[in-house]
Amino acid sequence: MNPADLEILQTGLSFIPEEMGVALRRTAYSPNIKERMDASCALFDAEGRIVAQAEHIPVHLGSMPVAVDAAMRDFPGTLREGDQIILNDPYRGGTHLPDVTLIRPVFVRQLIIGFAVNRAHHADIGGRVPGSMPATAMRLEDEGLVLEPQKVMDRGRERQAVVERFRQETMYPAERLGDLRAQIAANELGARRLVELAERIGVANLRTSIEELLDYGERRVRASIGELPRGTWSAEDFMEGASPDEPDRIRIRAEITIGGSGIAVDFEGTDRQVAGNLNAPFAVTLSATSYVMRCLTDPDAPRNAGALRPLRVLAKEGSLVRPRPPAAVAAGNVETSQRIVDVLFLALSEPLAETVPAQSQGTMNNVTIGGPDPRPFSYYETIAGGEGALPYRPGMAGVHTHMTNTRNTPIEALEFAYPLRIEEYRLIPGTGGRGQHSGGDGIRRSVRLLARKGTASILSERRALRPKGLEGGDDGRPGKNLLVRRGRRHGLPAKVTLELRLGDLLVIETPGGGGWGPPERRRR
Amino acid sequence: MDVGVDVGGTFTDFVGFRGRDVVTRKLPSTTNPEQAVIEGMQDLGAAGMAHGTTVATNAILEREGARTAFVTTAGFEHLLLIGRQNRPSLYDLRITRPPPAIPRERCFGLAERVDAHGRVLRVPTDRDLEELARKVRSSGAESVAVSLLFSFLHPAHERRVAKALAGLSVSTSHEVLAEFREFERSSTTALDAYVKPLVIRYLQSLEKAVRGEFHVMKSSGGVVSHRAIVRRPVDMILSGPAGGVAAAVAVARATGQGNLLTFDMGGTSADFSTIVRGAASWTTEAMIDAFPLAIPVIDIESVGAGGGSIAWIDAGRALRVGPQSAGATPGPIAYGNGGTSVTVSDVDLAGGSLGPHLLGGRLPLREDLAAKGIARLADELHLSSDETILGVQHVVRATMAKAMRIILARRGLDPRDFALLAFGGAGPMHAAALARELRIPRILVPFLPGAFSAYGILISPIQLEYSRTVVRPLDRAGPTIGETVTAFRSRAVRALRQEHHDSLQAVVEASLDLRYQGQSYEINVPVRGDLARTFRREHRRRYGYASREERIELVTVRLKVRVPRRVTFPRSQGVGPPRIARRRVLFDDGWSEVSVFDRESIPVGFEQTGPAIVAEDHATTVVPPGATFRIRPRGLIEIEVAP
Repeated sequence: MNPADLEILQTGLSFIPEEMGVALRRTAYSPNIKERMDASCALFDAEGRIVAQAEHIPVHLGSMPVAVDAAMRDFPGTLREGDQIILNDPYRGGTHLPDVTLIRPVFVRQLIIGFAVNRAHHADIGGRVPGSMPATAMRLEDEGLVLEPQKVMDRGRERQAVVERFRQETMYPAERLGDLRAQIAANELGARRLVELAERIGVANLRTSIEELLDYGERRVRASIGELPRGTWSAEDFMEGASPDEPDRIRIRAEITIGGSGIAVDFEGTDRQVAGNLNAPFAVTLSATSYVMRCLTDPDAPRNAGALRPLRVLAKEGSLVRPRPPAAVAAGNVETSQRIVDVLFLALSEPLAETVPAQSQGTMNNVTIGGPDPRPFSYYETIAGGEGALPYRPGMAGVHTHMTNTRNTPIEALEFAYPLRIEEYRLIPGTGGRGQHSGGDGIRRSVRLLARKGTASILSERRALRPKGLEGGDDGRPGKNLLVRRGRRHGLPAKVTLELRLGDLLVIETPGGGGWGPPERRRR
Repeated sequence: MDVGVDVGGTFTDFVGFRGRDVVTRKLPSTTNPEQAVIEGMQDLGAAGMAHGTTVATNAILEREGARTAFVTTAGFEHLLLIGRQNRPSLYDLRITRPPPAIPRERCFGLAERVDAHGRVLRVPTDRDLEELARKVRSSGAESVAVSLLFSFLHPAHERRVAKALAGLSVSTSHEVLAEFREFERSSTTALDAYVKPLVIRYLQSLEKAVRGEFHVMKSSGGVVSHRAIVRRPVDMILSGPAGGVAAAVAVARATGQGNLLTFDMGGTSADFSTIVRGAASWTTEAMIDAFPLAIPVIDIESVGAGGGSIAWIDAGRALRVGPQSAGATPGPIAYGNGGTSVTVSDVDLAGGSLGPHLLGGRLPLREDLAAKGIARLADELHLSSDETILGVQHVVRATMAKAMRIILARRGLDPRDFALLAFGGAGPMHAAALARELRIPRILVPFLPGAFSAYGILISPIQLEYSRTVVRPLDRAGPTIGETVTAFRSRAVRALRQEHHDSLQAVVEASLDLRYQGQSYEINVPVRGDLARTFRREHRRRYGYASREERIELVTVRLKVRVPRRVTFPRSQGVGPPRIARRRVLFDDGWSEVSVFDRESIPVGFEQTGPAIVAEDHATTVVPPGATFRIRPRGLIEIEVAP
């Protein structure tokens, strides 16, 4: 293919998932998809290789192919025009239960030419607590409705059995089904666009063109890998355990080899899976690893299977980063994924000293508050913190880093909707590590309950272990969770589910980012 | 004579009418933009002016606004810095948030609080206000943005702050944008404060050149008097492309072609917008740099693709075009000013689409230099020069097609229901190929495609917009809606009287943002008939279903008031047989010898099948093989694009 046709096809194909994303956002019902765009869309070829993915959420980057693999394995030769597969089972193609994935095979003359796929985070998927992010779940079932790969659309007809489970087991079925139908419609649009393209250029031509696009993606990434130093490096870092059944330090270790043929990452030496929900399904581990590789090579390379070819990831089954069922996993996606990124950057901080950032806040500070009054409500938020400083610039303050980039809920929107009042939402000066370039500051967000009672769940990390500075830069300050009840302050653990009373104030302080370089070298 | 004046990065355009004869000027823009404006006004002997300027937009992009302070509720001082807590780039670690317009040390908190019901939880004390005023003044701020939580429900605290800061330029959020979502409201207020002193100075410097009416273009697609705009200069930000869209609205209404997709391609970027049933589409989610601008502005999608966009080869050996531009200097290779990178204009020239000179002959182009540059690029690509020319054209069109599809997808529109209205220096040249790609059946090229924005500014209606968030259940909102609309109306009437406009001619549109209770986004419906029913119908159209049981909530009341101004279309000039030249042009299937029509000489009703070119001073229309063009009244070229 000539270099112009290559670019034209790349532009055309990569637009399909983008348009799906626009449609999903336009028609979705819940704020989580609409305002925070906690969703991703992608296009796959007939062999289940990712052809294009819209730039939405990093944590979905490397994990979507696992979902398509699962669907292809479970439905060999039994997919028909108009079918859509739904799944969220983290052991069969999913990541954590709130992330619901829909897969639509695309046909031309009864032959599959590809798949339109999207994944969206549902604000509630059942389970023990509102928002489906319990702090202390021990088994997957505690975390909500588990959907193994199954047809939700059968030749264009909605299957009532699936819809009924959403009706029975989730908190706001109307909102859930609204989102689900938006997801279905987004895939239909993607499928239509792919068929149009196939009809315009021919199925055979589409197949060879995709082949060339994947090679192109690979060339882009390999060109930048070629500029990296070769060698093997390793590092480790720790998660903070959640329950008495767990060690209070859970090790993640990785060894990275950059060679002529690509990058290999081996998680040998990582601790075994744990009793709580910090376990990260392998799909999540792949996402975090792909994210780091993308940051360090060509951030603008096409997001396709070719660009992922130079990367190999190994992890032992039964480990924290590749758990066996039925271990709980809700925090794997949102917390452990961040630590995997920390470990990988740390390992490369010596050979890539000019590129690698100091550690960022390393957590998403998940807070869910729900209750029955004055009408049932469930409010989910992730709180930003400090970004680690880079060798050439300070870290950003009050920002989401690495594996997430969702937006906050406006205070005025939240107070109109829920019996809550935000009393403080500001940066905490001095929480970013000092350095030649200093780390970004963390945030303090204080929420008061104005209803008679409520349940709060906090899933957070870096409450004891600090985000590390680099090259002599200071560490960032760890975060803090507090409950203020009748004027008295009580410290709270990093992961906790607790009952709230009228007037209780929950104070979350998020970690600052690490500094880079010795503070004395800071230019005045 | 009144003229429309559009100050662009490279040229300042003037359009006026003597009777139905159109008068135009194109002057090079000057470092102090007012110089060219004043010179053109004197040169044309113009009395009144409708003015479009990017002075406010540029002040923000280049951070050259006033030294500004920000005041908000204590505990929320860093509201503008945290924003929506997202980062600008997911994977590129080099990219950080752009520097704020107001630095952290000039953000101040005031101990006060109003809750979501508009009840005061904490009254600011006089001492706190004095202390605040002292801190703001000693920060050296020239202008201040005041945005307190829930001030749109209870503006008294903001008014007290403004009073304490008397003597400084102050923008309060309940006056700039009385709507919820604190970051977006605060950001809009901060932008208003940031540009205000500069806008006042700029308009004062122009005042002496204007002897008649002096109107200024707003981003909402209307104008107001220069006296009114200085009270809300925020309305000028992003008004750059609004003139063209306003002109397109006039074309849509005059021709009955109500659905238009506007395509404005210039030197560095291409802008797209949609006109549906004769009305421009607006959004309250505009951004400038990283700053939300939450007032209603015309919804425009912009992409870095223009005549100056540079062709390059990436690390994976694909041919890319833009977003890097050669700008006005050195410009394309063909300008002969030392440019070395092949641009879209260079391949357009070498491929014969673009004639041998620009600006009606004042800027000759160096085809030899362009051809040499293209040959070098072709070598690197292992392609022939012809393949390279077509390749660059196709790639830049793919980029534009994508932007166009995005703006259609956002509204769920089908391109086949639209005609493409192409203007800007390069728009009519690439329109036909783009329309084919998107399966748009018809193209319109207006008169003066190179100065269409200036024309739009000249004929834009006077337009005022009001809004206020008043959250409550719709079934109990009747009195609130009535009171709010009445209050807005009397403010509008007062404003129009002050400017001596006839308020009886005003077209008034009241609308409401509604949602189901618990949703976080709203649907805008006109105040007419059964509101709940209209809302449900629109909800069903957009989301596929609508509940009859769920409670509907009123969120924001809006009022738009428009006083139309005179719309003149130029007389068609051509009478005799058209003047025709010939040149060779490269199309997808090879070179053709093509008739080049002098636009001024073609009479109304004339029709011809392509390939053909219609040339005029500041634009070139390409009619590819298989397409047919026709000259229609009101100075329009219509092109039927056979697929």
